[in-house]
Amino acid sequence: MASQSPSQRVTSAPADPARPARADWRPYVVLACEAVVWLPALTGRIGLDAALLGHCAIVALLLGALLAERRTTADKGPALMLLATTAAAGPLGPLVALATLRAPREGGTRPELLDAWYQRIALASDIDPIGQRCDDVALGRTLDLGAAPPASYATVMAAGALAEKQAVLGLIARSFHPDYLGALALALRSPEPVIRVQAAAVATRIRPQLRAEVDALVLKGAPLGMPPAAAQRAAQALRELAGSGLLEEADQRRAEVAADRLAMRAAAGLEALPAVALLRMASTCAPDDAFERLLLERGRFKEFRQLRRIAGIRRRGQFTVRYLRQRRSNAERSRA
Amino acid sequence: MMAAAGPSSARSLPQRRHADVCLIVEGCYPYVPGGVSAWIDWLMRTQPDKTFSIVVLWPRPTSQPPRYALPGNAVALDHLYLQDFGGRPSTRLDRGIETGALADALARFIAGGGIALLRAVMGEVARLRGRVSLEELFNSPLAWSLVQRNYATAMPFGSFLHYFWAWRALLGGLFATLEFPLPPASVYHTISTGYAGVLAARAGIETGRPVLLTEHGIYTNERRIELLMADWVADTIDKGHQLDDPRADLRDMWITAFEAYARTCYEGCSEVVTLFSDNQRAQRALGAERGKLKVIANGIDVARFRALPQAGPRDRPTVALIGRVVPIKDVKSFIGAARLLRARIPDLRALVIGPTDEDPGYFAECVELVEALGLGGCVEFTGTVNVVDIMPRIHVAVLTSLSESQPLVVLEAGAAGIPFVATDVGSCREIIEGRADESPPLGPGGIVTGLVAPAEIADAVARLLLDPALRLAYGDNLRQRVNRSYTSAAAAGTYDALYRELMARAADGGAPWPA
Repeated sequence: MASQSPSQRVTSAPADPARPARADWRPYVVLACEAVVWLPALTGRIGLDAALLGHCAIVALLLGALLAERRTTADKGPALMLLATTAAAGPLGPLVALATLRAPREGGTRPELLDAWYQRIALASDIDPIGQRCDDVALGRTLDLGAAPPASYATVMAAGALAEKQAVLGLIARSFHPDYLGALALALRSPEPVIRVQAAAVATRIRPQLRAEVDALVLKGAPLGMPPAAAQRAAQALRELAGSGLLEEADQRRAEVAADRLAMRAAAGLEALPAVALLRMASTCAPDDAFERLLLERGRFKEFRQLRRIAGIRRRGQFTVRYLRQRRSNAERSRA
Repeated sequence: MMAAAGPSSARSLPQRRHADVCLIVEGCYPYVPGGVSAWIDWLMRTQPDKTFSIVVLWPRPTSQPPRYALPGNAVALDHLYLQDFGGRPSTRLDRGIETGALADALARFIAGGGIALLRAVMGEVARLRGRVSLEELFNSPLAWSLVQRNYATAMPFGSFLHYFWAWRALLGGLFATLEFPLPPASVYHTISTGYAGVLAARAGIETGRPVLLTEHGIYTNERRIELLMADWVADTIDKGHQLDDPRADLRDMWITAFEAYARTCYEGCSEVVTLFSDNQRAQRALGAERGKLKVIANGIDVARFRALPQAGPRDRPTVALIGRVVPIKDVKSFIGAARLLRARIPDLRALVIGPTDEDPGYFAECVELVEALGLGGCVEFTGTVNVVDIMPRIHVAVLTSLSESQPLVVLEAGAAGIPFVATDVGSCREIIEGRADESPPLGPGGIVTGLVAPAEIADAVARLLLDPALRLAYGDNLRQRVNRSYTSAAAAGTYDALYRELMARAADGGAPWPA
């Protein structure tokens, strides 16, 4: 609970300094009224009972004003204090109230801090993200960086527990990315009815997002000067979306047409590319994709072989590199 | 099956009359039409020799008119408002009352559930009775100390503010359920787990009467899916993509609570009924004992459909989706399948038979899709029509739903001898292909496809449309299966026998009703 205390940072706009202090004039008025009642009594012009009656009338008026204000949001503290001190001390009451209200409040919380705190406990949406992040770190709500890496969604969907599969589908629904389509497709074919139903609900929910994704890719592929590598990547993404089976018919056809167009543009751009640029571009593509077929179609066999070699190194990891180095040093040694 | 709705259904009933069966229903009857509500109406009307009282669990008092007229054998209708609990804030109750044991019992009950823990909570509530009511307690400084104490153990890393409001909602519903005066009855029959299930379990503990559960969908799973996908539940802890982060957050708290309620209900019930056997897997996973599980399928009045003529080979090839035009029916997949089918069967007619006014936005999207795919002359939205009138024109019926329990439309088409292509949801596979223990096996009555799979659906429909012999054979199989296993009379008879058995048990072993 201590962790929930107000932060000392100002996390929102300060309070309005021009806020009217509504009760400030009242002590003076009450003081004047009390003087009007008690001075004639002290000078003997009216009796004590008449003065007491007048005093009671003033207190009653103050009470009436306070009751009339009780449903408003205004701060009723000063009015209440004025009422209490006046009722108890007559003309001295307003003076006591004035002195108390005017006294500097040492150690009090500044209004802007209180405002920020009120915003936070009201769960306002405009809380300063930096302040929020600091709180999260302090309270242990941030990502656990010491934890093991999370399992891949596809693996969980293929062999995870029921609760894990459901949690994955929840995550996909709440923060969708096209890379999750494979896991979602697996879920739709799951032997567990619960998973199928949830996956279908997720699929329905993300359809508008998939459509937006297609729109964005089609728009991205519109400029004619798009580099071939980018065009190739966009075409591949569109093909994956079209092949997901989750797009509506019209969107699927649109994605297929756009993917073909982008692939053709990428292929046309290959002619002019030097080998180095071509290989750099190839390294950004997934292995076994249409890019290799394109290289073969264009007769660029040398680049094709290099690409396969790069793919092999990527597949087998550093051992291949060691092996190649070893072979090269062996050859040099034998030559020497 | 469904009774006419009307204002007359709001007739006042004596509130404390003893009934043979007390039905406990959450969020449906008598205010929401169709589905489970229609089933409850059917159940009461097919058991005219028994009296029913109904407890309706609803969020808060409503001005909605009831959609069902109460049958003559309904003797009481009570409302339990889940979100309307708690009196005026009280600052008096801060001393002298020890609530630590109640806090512990509540924390353990919400985290684990079960009859023993519910009994412990009820014991603590009984101990406090007379000194403080739950309603007073709920808005007092004692409640504040309870929530702090539970927060420290249940969700110490999450946001206290979020926990506080979630706790209020959760405990408010639970307290309302614990305080609700039980209507006197011989048998308590709940139609879901959740709070209704907790009330039924409480009734079993307090009265010693038998408790019965009939689950159409698996309530806990539906809540879990809803909670996992909900944007309104704040994630106050950043767990990234981790699935096994031990820090509990709000979603975990809600899901755990509903699982605990389900476990309590399953333990408290003597019979756990569902509509189809696939559901039992989920029930067992949530703690239901295998020995209590039972399947009682819904049924239809087959006589209405038996004599209908069938669409012939000379009629225009017609495929129909019978259902409301709403996202859960995935009408767009049906339209996608129609596009693929038309390439193979050019004069195809694809009907969408059902009301279109429930989700006008979705209906507009479907119409737009039909136009975009150039299917104007092929796909037709008929609106609400009498299916009996239109079935003689249908060669193959289709259901592309994303979720169902036991769709009556499959049974109705089956009774008319129309083969069915349906997605693998609810009991569709069981109805179309038959249960594993079907004896003798009748053979398939249609084809089951994947979800959101227009190509698969189109292939299945084409197979049936292009092969009249197969179509007739499948239609006949489905008709036989429906006649054998899915008649209204058979379902009503099974419930009659079950009620009689439970009422006899109540008469033998139940405690006398408290005065």
